[in-house]
Amino acid sequence: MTRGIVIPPGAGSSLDITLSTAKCKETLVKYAYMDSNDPAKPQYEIRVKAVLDNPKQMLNYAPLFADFGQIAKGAKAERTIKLTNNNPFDVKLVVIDSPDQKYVSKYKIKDTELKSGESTEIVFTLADNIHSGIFYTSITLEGEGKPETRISITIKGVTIG
Amino acid sequence: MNIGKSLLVIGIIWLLAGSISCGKQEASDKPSPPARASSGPAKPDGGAAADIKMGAAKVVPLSDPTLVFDEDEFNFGSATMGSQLTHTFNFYNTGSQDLVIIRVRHT
Repeated sequence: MTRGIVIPPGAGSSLDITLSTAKCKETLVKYAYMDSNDPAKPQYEIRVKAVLDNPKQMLNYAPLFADFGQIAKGAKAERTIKLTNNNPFDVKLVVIDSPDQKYVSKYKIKDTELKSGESTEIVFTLADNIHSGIFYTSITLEGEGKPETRISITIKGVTIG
Repeated sequence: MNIGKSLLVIGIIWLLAGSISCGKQEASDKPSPPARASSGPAKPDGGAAADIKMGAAKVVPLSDPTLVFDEDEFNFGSATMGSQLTHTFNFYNTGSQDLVIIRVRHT
């Protein structure tokens, strides 16, 4: 819960949402409500949703997480996810939401245009200045013009030292 | 409108413990929508300076604070159970008075 944050006229801010899906199955829809002194909309509703372990998922990837494991603070590291287009159609991959640059300094999708059955790799590079402790972020991508193919992949790890 | 962005960041983490049910929450979690007022941003008088006369100054009312989000929904699509998925919602005050965020709640 957050109280009494003042946003001056013309200014903005952001609301970071993390959805932890540890014990959920199927479709998950969660709501957040921001109460403010805006008389036109004193309660603003936002939503996030995900489909977990979706049997209809056709952009498949392995491993299931880009897990850096335990890693020394400041160490250089990369993790690679192999992504396969199991749709019966070709896709051009587009990134909807990038990983937080606090944790992933860059990422590269080797081939963004995948014919049916083809695979590519996504390489994530760990950022240099991550604080010690657990971190996680995610990437969301889909086939262009095919919102039903959308997937999100978690990137996580623990920095030590 | 050139909207500056403050450094302020608000975070929410939905940690879904076993006692919190998952799925089919759309209907049960959703409260009744708040009543919506009809007021909109006030429009400043568009008259030229030459129209202003001494002793007849017009008072231009400030518009209310206005909360605007870039988007009010984000779909993560398909994900693996056990994922921790992150997204940032940006919001702005497009009114001409301070916007006060009283609290942020989640289901």
